[in-house]
Amino acid sequence: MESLKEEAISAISKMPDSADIDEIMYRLYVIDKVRKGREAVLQGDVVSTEELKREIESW
Amino acid sequence: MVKWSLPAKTDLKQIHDYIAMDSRYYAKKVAQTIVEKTEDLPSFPERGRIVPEIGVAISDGVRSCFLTKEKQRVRGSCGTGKSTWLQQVLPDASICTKLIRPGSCQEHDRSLQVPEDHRIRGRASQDHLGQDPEERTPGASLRIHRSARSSGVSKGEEAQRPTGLPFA
Repeated sequence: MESLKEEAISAISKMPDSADIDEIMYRLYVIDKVRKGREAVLQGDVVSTEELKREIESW
Repeated sequence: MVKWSLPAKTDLKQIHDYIAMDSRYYAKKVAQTIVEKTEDLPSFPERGRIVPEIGVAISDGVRSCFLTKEKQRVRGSCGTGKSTWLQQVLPDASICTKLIRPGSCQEHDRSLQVPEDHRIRGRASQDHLGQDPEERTPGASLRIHRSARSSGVSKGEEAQRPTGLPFA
């Protein structure tokens, strides 16, 4: 897996020069979200849809 | 089998809790709909749209999809006596609720009995005036507009961008 720094640099370098701070932050946020999700899956931190649906019932 | 990562579950709970500030009924409904959307992934693992925010290389295997159909749907109305609450689910999955006077909307003026938690608690918000021509109907006073668009995980380009520090 690409390092976080590499991922962030490549994502920002693809953005237009006019990108404002909100756009940059948002893009980094999305990358971080996807990355954390994937790491959790690799570590086995998951629930099945069936479990999740049961849990939602109690929310 | 579809697996939900724990961060994704946390996000879903936050989306649920946010909507639940207005309506516990719709909060649960939205959470269930999002989960149901993922259930056919074993048959169609590449369904949905490539996420534009992240490059094609990184987004390999990452897709976003939308929750609702294009057409506006009226989800129900509730109320008795002098006023009627009308709820609509807009194309962007936001829920619009307004108070209409009897007779101002014959189609939806029937008094349907709905469970207590179906009713959205009133909190005035005017910031979406003009988004929906129907909302400008004379005699209809606008009450609430609660967006369900905070799901960055499963929504695409129309997903509302978080303002301020997104990591907070």
